[in-house]
Amino acid sequence: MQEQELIQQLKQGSEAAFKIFVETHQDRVFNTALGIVQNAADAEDVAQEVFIQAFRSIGSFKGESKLSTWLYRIATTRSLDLLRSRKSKKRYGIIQRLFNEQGELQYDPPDFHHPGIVLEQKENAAKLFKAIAKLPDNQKAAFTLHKLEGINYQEISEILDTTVSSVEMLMYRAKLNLRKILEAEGANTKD
Amino acid sequence: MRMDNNKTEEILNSLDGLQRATSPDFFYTRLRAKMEKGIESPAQQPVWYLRPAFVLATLFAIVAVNVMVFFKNNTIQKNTAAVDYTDVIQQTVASDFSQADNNIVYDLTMSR
Repeated sequence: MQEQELIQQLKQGSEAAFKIFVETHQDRVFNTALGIVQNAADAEDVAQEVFIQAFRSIGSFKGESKLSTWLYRIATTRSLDLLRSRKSKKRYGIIQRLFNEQGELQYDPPDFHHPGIVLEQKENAAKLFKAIAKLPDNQKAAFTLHKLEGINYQEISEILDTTVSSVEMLMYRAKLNLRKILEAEGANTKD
Repeated sequence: MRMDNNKTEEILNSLDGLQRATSPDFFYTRLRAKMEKGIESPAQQPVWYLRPAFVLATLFAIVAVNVMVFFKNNTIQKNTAAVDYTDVIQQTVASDFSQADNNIVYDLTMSR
């Protein structure tokens, strides 16, 4: 089915079209969310929310970009929203712990292991994901989209609604920051 | 140092050749179930009372009210303690005396 035809059927509320739409894009949405939120259960929740939002707002989709670009945009926004929500809960946890000795910090993530990483790179990738989690949102989004989904700078600029040169700058800064974080965290120390 | 840079580069390039993660089994079934139930994810649920801005503002308001009440009470106590009753008595006596004088003058005038 052609994309335009699929969009038309989605706008008409076709369940069959929605199933095709989900099955076509679910892996890319899940993988994008997983790269950003770094937790499989949360990534599945985000992916579901992305499709629910897409289903509800397909009527306002003008077709100026590809469906995948539109979905990447929703997935990135939703994933970053979840991270912000986690951060605010973590801050509240710190305040709560001041008053309650038994209060434990939530959402202190363990090392994240992406299922698509080759075994010999598992340890290095875990360190990299830990560093990625510390990047500012826009750098994190650009780096994840490029490295995990292999999206070129042109499409990333459409997803993030910015210019290609801005994406280049985001990627440059992301790499610079990652290098600093890795060095600061003693990534270079011998195990 | 050269070795360190190599290690950092190795880590930075560790995502090269990564395979896309596949979504969990029965993703569509679970999605449909969620859509039918209309369940919102924890990220969607309103947690306004957990927002740091709200928590800090509440704490600030409580502390501010306490400080205000403390200072107000202190001021009232100081004012109460500072009243000198001898002044009040003197003023009352002077006032009575002045009034008595006027009455005497009035009585003299009337008797003429």
